[in-house]
Amino acid sequence: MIWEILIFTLFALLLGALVWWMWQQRELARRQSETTAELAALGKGIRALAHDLRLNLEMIVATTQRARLTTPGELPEVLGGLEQAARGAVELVRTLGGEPQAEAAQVASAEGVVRLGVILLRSAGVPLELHTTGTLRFLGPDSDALRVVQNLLSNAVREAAWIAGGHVRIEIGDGRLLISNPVRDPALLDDRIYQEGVSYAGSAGVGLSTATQAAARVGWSLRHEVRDGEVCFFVEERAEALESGGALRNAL
Amino acid sequence: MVVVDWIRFPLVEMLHRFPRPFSGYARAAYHLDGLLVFSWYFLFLASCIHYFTPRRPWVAFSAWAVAWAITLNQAVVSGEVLGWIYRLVSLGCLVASWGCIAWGILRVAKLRPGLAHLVLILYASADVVINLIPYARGFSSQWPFVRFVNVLLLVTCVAAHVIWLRRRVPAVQDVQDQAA
Repeated sequence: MIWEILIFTLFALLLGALVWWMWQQRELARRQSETTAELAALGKGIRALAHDLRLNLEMIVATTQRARLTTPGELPEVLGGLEQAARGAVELVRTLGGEPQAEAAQVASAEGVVRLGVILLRSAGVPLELHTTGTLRFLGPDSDALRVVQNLLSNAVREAAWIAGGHVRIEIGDGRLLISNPVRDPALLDDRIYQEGVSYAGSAGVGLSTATQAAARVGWSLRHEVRDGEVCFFVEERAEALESGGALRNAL
Repeated sequence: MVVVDWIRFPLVEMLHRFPRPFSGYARAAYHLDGLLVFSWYFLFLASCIHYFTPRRPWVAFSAWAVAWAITLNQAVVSGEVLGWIYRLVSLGCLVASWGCIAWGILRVAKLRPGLAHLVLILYASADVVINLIPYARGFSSQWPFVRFVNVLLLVTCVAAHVIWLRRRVPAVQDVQDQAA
């Protein structure tokens, strides 16, 4: 009897310890997988910020080069563009460091965004058509709105520069922003272009993914249409996001 | 159980000197003994609820009070009937405890396995053996074997604590070394 109980008890205790050990191993594996996912998300965020930071720095370089050739009359405009690009870069570095974003409204005005577009287009030698017929509203940090516009414009300029006589058209209407430009191969522009790492133009495939995420944060939606060898990107207000978000700020 | 055994020892010795049915102080001591015996099962169940589920262990304490209240009727509940009640309570609490353990392991996402969980699982495992062999062959006559299982359980728990502490101390030293 005593041996029977001894063997059974030891077996049961061993089994109990095994249950606990397997549970601990499962928890360790789960925590490791969570940490890996967090690191991946962090890496993705850093890649997006680095991409946008590079855009701003390229603008600063282009503007500085342009400043050497500009006339005294154009200088204030060029310096204004330089300031905007530098402010954008500072905001991105703040975001990267986890600091609260600076009070906006300095950057995300219609004038500021158009100025950035002009800087881009002039440095790339692509004509710009700007039409303002209304107001596009957004919520949240101005830097996010600027990141959306900046990414869309830089893509448009880069693609239009490939095509002889290519130009970029920007239209700010009520509740929407339209950016259209000619493309080399319209058939390739399906909905996968919003995924990170997908690019048909030889870029890193980060810009549109970043723009989509930033657009969602400020209460916008992003879509595109391809017609007659042109692609039109539509940035549209999401009424439900803007209404639930509290006070609206006019920006674009 | 070890602590309660030491408290029960003088109580049981005293009760042996009184004729049944008990009355007066002897009856109070008899019911106190019943309360202490139930504490083995219900405090263990309460611990399982506390450590393995997000709920408070009031259910276990309420069930403890109900079970004890049933045994207050000494005329009906004594001897063999009381033995059966103890056995049923033991089995019921064991099933409920394993239910809490399974719930905690499978359903409570925030739960992190610790030493307290290991000890409770070891207790529940030893209880399975106690219910399968000594209790099944006679609740009171097999008492020495129940004690034997508890000694094995105690040794295992001491070993678990020693292993746990040996694993933790180097980890703490590593952190201190890194800080230095």
